[in-house]
Amino acid sequence: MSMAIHAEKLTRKFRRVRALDGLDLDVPDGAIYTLVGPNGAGKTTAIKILMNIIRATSGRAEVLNLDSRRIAGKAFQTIGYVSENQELPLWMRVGGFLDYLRPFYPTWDRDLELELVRQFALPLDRKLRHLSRGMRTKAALAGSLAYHPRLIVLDEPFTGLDPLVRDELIAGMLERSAEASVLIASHDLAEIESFASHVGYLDQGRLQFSEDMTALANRFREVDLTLPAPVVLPERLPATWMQASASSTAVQFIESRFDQERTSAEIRRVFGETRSVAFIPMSLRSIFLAMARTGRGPEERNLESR
Amino acid sequence: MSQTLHIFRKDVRQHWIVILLCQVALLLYSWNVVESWRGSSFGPQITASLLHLLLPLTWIFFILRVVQSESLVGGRQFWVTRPYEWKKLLAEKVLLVVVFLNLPALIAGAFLLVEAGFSPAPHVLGLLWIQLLLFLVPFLPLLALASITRNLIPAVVTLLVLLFLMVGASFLMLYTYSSGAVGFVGLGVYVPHASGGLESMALLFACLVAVVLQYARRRTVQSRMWLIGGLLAAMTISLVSAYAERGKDPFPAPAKQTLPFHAALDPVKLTLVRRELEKDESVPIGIPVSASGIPENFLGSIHGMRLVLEGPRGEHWDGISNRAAELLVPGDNRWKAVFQMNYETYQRLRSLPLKAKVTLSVDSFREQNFETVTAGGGEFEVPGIGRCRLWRYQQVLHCNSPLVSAPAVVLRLDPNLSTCPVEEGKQSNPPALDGLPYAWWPGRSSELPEGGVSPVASTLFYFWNFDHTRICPGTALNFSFPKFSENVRNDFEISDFKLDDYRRPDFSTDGISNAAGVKLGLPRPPR
Repeated sequence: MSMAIHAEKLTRKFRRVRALDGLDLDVPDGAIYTLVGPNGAGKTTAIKILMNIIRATSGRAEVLNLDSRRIAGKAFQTIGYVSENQELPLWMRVGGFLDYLRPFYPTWDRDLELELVRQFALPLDRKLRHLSRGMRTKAALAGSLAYHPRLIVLDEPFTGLDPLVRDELIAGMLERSAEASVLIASHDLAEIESFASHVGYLDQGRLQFSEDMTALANRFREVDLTLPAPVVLPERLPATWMQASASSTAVQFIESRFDQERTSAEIRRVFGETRSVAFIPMSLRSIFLAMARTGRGPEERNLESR
Repeated sequence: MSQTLHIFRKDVRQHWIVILLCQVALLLYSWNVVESWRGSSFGPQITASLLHLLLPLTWIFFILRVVQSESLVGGRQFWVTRPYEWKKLLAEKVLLVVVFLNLPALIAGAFLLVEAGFSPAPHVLGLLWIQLLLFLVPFLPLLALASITRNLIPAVVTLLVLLFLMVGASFLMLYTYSSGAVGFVGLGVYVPHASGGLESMALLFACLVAVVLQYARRRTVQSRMWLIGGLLAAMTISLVSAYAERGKDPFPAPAKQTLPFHAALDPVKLTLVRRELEKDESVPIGIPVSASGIPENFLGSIHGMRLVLEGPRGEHWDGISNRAAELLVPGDNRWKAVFQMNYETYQRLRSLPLKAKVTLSVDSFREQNFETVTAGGGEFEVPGIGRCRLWRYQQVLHCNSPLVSAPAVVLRLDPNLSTCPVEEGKQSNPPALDGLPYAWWPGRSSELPEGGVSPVASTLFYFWNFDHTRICPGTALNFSFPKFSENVRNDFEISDFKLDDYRRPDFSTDGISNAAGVKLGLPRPPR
């Protein structure tokens, strides 16, 4: 599979602090890859290195098959980048901003620009200075999508936005995602669940795991059992079962390698006959919490969700 | 090119107020320069000074604003992740400076030439040279400063720090040069320089590297290091150069001396001062000197005088003085060479039997190319100089020349042919004078125009030692354009030198006189 982004052992130190600690990252072509993690995990640092805004202390990365250290000038004609911290030319009007950006991109699509303006309800005659944070982000996104970029990189684009604006931005981005790979950094698990195709969890500068969202959702199940008689949990349980608990005849656990036949067989082997078995799909947030509690992932205190 | 112009148009839209401000400041500056030629200025003196300050301030503001509108420091700027090509962005910033600073300055230069009565056409190359100098200093260092700072505040703070650093370096340089002497030679003393402009080149090179490095790679730390390195290199070169000159003879004896020039201590009785000195007061020491040996048709311009005092226990003091405004004439010349000594040194040396060594360095000029011009009521032309006008109560002749100042010029006046009316209540009898009152301009230091905005070089002809000399419309002005002949030097020693015997009254201005004590003017020009 070809990769839109490939990073190997990226490390970045700020004096004594390791903001990134040997990050390996692969974003497949066409993926909507969300890099999640708590504040200060190193998401923005990773993206800044990929965009050649700052240099890595060590390691290397390729973006659209180009060494990230060589990304400059014309290389940005195929990359759309929007960040929550980006300083826009606030003295410009929205229309002037888009007019200014247009000649930089040979692939700029005027019809798409008008469509984005309409979709985001951008006031063309208003100065960027006088727009709300959400509207500014929309203007920046419109200016980053209108030239059909092959890669869209968004750094915490939804922070501080109201749900309506966030949904509009996501919708606008998803409409373009068919023709582009997308990398989104976010600390909000709930907002990315609906659209991400891949997810990577970054904490303390390290990638804790990286997985296809469907596979992740498919392999985790909350399992509820009802047994014919009260039971005490055996000392040795299958390694893929997490947070197992029992109360009289009820047993609960989380299966991290769910396969209905294999899991059912394991249940019969451990408990024998059961009165009822329920396999309940889990939300991304629940999966992360489960992993955190069993020491396989993020800690609960770091997770935020609306 | 299209990207350069595209960004250029954006910057013009963004910074039109600053651009307008620069043009207004230039307009006011030019207006003030023209007014100053007429002996007046635009409003009171303080306003004129502020106008001269306003122009560089607007230039600094303009360069900082336009460069920092695409700031090269930090990673949050939207343009960093847009398809800007660094060479085109840099070209755009240079284009802005050229179009909105250099081009208006070029036009202002041409306007000033026209206002001064000169056609700009023959001086186009000179005007362009001035703009090149202006771009190198101060625009290039300002571009470098703007490219390594994020916004106005750190840039202004850096500028102020640099200003203090430069003042400090000047003091350090002066101290390094003068530390061989017991006495501090004082501010305003020229420190000989053997670096040949190497420090300026080091600084400009560092600025160039910092700008290119910052635009090409946005390596702020490295660019700052380059600038700091350039600054340190320039300061080191200056200090080493000053140190190398320390202890050297500031007026080395010429390899060959053909004129029989001779200088000696004049055994004249000095008028001495008896009042108590105040602490930290500068003490004037006057050495009466007689000099002879300037041949007929020659003039001597005092290049410099040096007094070295040595005490019995190795005490040493070294002082320099000059009388550049006055000329030595054929025959015997007498005057008092004045040296300033600080209070502590004076107190330490005053009671000691000292040995004094006096050095006199003189540039001799052969007088030639005599020209008589009648002064006009307004502006009038003087061949070889430019356009002149009478100034400030008719005691000064102000002359403008295109691009470079006048060559060496002597201006004589015959008081008997003065067309000035005798004013009531004023002294009608001029003081005893042997010869004609004169004003002396030793000539330009370079044939190339200096930096700045105005391509009009002004020369003022003052009659320093001839208080009653005035020029009125209709007065005949006798000019000559002496040609440098050779540098001559003469030394003499004074044994058992007591400082108290040579302490002079303050503020006394003795002109050069003859053996009878009559003030010396110049011989009449040949008919």
